[in-house]
Amino acid sequence: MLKKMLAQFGIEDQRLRLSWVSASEGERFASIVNEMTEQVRGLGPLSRRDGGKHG
Amino acid sequence: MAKLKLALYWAAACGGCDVAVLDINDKILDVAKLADIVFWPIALDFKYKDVEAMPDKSIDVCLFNGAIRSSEQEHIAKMLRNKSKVLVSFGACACFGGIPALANFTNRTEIMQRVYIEAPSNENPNKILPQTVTRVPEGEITLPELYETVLTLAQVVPVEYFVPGCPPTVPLILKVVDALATNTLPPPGATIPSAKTLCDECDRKKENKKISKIYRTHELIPDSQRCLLEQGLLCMGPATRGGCGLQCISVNVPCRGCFGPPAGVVDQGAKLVGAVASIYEANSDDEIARMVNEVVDPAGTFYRFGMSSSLLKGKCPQRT
Repeated sequence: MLKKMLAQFGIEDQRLRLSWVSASEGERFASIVNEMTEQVRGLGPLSRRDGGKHG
Repeated sequence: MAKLKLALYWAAACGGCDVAVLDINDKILDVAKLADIVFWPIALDFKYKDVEAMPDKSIDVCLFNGAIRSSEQEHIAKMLRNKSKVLVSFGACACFGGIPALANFTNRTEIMQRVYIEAPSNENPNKILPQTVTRVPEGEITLPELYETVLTLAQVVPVEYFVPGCPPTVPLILKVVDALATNTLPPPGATIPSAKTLCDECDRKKENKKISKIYRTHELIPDSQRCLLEQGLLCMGPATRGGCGLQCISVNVPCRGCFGPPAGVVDQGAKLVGAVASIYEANSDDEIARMVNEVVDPAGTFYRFGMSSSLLKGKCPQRT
């Protein structure tokens, strides 16, 4: 539902990821966080509305 | 006690808030006893220049309804702020953006295109769009500028009180009038009705908070005693401020969220998505997909009244 709604807000679906990681899977946790960080860094900052006349 | 000076104004609104004030019926005579209305475009023939001529802070209370989406509305909001001791953000549009703020899912260019060029009822072969300045033989004529984003009143000027609702209910308006009459207004910054959620005030039977199918309102005649959300209707009660007197709930219609977020909640839509998603009972990816599809327009449903005051304020502009 959140994914569908974020699309309506013009937010790329690569910015949201759902993964299940057990407390014993430390390495998997780290690699998912690293992947996600790289992915979002690649997308660059989200351009947001400032509101008002031009935004 | 000298009579209060009262002003009412409408910006981006449907007029329903003004009608709600008239709906207090004979109590309007009490208002007339209590206050002189010095400006009220829907009902009285005062002009902007009459307000401009008033000294600063000479209006005791201004009830301002409607969101801000044009240069005219911003100008009048600033003027009424200067002229008024107490400025009340009146109704869902002034408080949270309201229905007009659903325009924040699009932008000025797309709105102009749709309204003046694409709409089937138009006959505009030369694709003429409204201009803020037009030169004619007699001189220059001007129109207010439409803004890219719809704003709340408090995003443009400081506001003392918030009276939400689409429109504010008659008992709520009378509560404000009574507080004015007896000089018992709460401290500035307050939202006048309840701090609780609608669910806290709702007297329907709540049994099993799990849903496996979402119904749109025309698809189901709900049981009038049971929680509407449990019956699969998207009711905004879990993240909507109470104090409306359960007007919709009592006639078997789910809450649409017009009282905005309860105290302590910033983003009403995000809270609602969380609340609804957490009671989904689905056992497979297919079932989840079906239930997500049953909510046809999640953003428009959960942010029906709260777009301008939400964290994102609207659809993010696409980078070029």
